[in-house]
Amino acid sequence: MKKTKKTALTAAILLAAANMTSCDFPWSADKNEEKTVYGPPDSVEVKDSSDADSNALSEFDPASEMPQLEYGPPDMFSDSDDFDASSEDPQDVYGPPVDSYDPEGDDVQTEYGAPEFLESDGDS
Amino acid sequence: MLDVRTKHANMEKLAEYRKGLFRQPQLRNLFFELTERCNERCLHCGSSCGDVQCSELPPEVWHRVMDEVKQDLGTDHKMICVTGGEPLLRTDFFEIMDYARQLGFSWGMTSNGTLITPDTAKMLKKAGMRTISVSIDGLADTHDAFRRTKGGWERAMQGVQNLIDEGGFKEIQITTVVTHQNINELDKLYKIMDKMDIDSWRIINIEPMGRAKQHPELLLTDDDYRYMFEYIRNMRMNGEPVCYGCSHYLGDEYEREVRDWYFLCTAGIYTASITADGDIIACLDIERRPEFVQGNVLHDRFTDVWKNKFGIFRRDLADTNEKCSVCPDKDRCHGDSYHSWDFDNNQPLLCLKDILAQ
Repeated sequence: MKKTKKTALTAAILLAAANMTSCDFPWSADKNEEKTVYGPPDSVEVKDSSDADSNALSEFDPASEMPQLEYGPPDMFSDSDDFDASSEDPQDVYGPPVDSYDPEGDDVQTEYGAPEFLESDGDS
Repeated sequence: MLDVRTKHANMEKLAEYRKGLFRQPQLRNLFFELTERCNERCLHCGSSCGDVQCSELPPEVWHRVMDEVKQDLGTDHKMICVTGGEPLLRTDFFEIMDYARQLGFSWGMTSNGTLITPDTAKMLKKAGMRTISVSIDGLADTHDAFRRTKGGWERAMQGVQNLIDEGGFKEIQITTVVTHQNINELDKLYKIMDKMDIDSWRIINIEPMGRAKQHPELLLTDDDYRYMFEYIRNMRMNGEPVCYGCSHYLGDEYEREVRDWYFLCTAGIYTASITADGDIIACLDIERRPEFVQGNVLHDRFTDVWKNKFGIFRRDLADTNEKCSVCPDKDRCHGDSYHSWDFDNNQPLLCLKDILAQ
């Protein structure tokens, strides 16, 4: 299967989140409680367990795209409308508020499902 | 698990966006069910396809629909998704879909892969197909028994390989429907797929619809669901291009972690479908009930129907059910997928949020 910059980034973020929350099993007793982080992980590892697209992975440096290390909202977060996840990669915000929504900015959705908004499409 | 507060904030934005889509629906996915005929007899088929008598629209009707969509809505940001039955059973398949290419539509398809010879793969590329998802529902014996087609697995895998060899497609995907009988084959399946140059592996759960209703032994247990989602997440943590499908709200733990988006049932707000006999409906996965048919392309302009009908889908199902209406996840789930709503008893058939939270 093809590994890309996108899958590597997804892996890095999920792995970092798992390391921070120590949430290995969905039915752990305290899975619904907020976890605290005692310092950031030393590094974010991207496992390459199979033949991967070496060009994509050799260009991808997870250290340059560190996921959020501190458990909690980004500095800019507030409970008001000021929250903007667009600064986080991959973009989690699911489109802008609808009143100002302009579909011109969307690409063709090739996966059947809700739109996926990424800042860049690194797929080959 | 990713930051729950971030997830909640983003899902709240999505909920607002969704309400806006009720007022301003944006057609993004247009499904063409070219036929209900199929050369397989899958036990889980939601449409009960097979060797059936089926009235099929001629190419000129499909062309007219495409003309209307292009004239009224444009081709940008839209994907025509071809499905069936097995669409390649239509001898006029390329006559229909090359027209999409000529008009500038992006299109993709689902297929059982058994009819994809090297020449067919070449023709698919020539006709402008961008994406394809081929069904592989277990190891060879399991797949063949499930789909009641001897040799089906070999032919489907060869079909995938023919596509890979042809090259030039945006995405070649394998889709596996997970059942209680094949869930233990996921690891072995992965080892096979890992050697293939496919772009992604979509893992979805069997739904209790169509022919699957008659086979309760195939349905997943709660433990099966938990295992499946944990499996998908672990694969993604390892950088594998694996994802869950678009269905079902999954709750705090798994939303955004097993697919690259948050749950949103797009039936009637992003997605519309035209059945083999021309009925205009929202999503082909939704049970075929008369009240869901919004029109028919034989006598209605598709774009007029898209603009003026579909009201039954542009609302929250959660508001109609006592339990859902008071659920704290109501605005994120909005009653879950339309296709898994029990309209006779006015309740969701499946609440994965509750199952996965246990």
